Amino acid sequence: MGDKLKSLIPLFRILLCFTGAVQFCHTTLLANDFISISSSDSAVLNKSKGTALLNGNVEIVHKSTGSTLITDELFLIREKDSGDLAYAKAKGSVKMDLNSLDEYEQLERTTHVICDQALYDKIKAVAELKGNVEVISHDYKINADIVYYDLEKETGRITEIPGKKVRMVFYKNRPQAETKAFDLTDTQGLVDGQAIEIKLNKKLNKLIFQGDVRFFDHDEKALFTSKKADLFFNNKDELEKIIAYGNVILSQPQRNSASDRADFDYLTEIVTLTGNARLKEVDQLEVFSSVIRLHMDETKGMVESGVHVPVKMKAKVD
Amino acid sequence: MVKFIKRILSIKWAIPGLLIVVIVYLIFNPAAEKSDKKPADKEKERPMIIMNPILKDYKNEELSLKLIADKAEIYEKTQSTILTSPIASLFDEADASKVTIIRAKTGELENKKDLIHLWGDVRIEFFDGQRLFTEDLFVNNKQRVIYNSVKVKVESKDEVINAASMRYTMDNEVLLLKKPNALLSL
Repeated sequence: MGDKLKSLIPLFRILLCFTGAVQFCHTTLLANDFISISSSDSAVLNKSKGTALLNGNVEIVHKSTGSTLITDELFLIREKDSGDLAYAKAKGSVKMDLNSLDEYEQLERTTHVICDQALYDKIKAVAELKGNVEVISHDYKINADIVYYDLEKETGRITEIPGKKVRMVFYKNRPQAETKAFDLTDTQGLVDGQAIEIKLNKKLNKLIFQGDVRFFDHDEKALFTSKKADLFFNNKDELEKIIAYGNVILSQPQRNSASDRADFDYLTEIVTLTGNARLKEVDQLEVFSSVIRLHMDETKGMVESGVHVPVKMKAKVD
Repeated sequence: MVKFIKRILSIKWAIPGLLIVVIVYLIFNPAAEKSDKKPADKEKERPMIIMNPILKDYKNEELSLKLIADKAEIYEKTQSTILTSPIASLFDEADASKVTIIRAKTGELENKKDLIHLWGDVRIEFFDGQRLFTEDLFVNNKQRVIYNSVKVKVESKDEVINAASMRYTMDNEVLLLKKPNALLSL
């Protein structure tokens, strides 16, 4: 998830680069690299305040990456002494196509962003996308109302569109190298997660889904709901583990389970249900225990309890 | 000679040909292109000429404008003055160290309108180091505005902005650029 989190930062690279604040730019800088900015209406430069306001079809293009930002209005504040960008706000029909180099695959990747407003504040060390946010990368898609990121703490928060949940659809493993754009029709390895709020922690490579959590794993045809779910990713951006907490209900075509907590280990493909765990297979046995372990693939049918943990079973007798 | 002219005129296409040559000459006459921009009535009047003039304008007893030139041609009838190589220094009312300097090839002081019209290689050096280049510009020191309606190029460190026109309000130091197109070096 490192990359998934990191890719939220590039959303603001283009704004940061606007005044040459290159120390924030993660892209490799090339000789004679430049940014072009145009607007069909006007630019108002306030010399005493160090501000710039661009109006009307503002378009920014970063030459070396080909990244673009299009918006109705762009407001910028520069630091008086250094000339560095201190504040940037793109307002109205913001559309960004951000190209960056994938560190692992050495491939050019594009992240598409649509929102009503994009903001960067250097003093507060925050970046924010607001209003009908849609972020589409080659391996994930986010729909939300607000995407907030603390640049100093490297943590963030994605909040729901009123009346809807935050939705994040992503691939468990890295998609094929040649994959250029996110494709919902290819469901292999796809996970569809929804919650009231998603929290990001880049340092821990962790995402936290909170409130009315709902996950659907297309591979296992498994749906689980819970109050909270922590997702852990490795440095290659691959899902390693999900820990779901609070009234966890797991539903698969041939079995259902309920527990206080469920650990989905994607390396071993084992699910561990703990706390008032109950597993019911369709027309088969029903297992009760404080700990139940089962294979993610329901056809493999492995069920075991923890060591020295009693198991209570109910079986249907024909 | 008469024989020669008659002979020329006897050629059927000679008259239309001569007419075309005369028209082309009048249209593309390089001397006409180089002629000064002075209005017709100024050309009739013999101006008073002052070499290296210095003009100063004060507001609230503070120097707000200092205008120097290589030469000033003063036309009394139209109350205007043509300046050669003018340099205008515009001072900030609150902070005299903030000076905006404007240079041009030619200028005209329109006394009735409190207007300075500058044209030909016009260059503004703003107090913050930003420079603006254009071909035609007006300075209204009474209203404290600099404006034009022709293309401008604004340069500062690692930054070039081309725009369709400009308006600079001196008192609040706001530069308005129409249809801007900027290039920023990284």
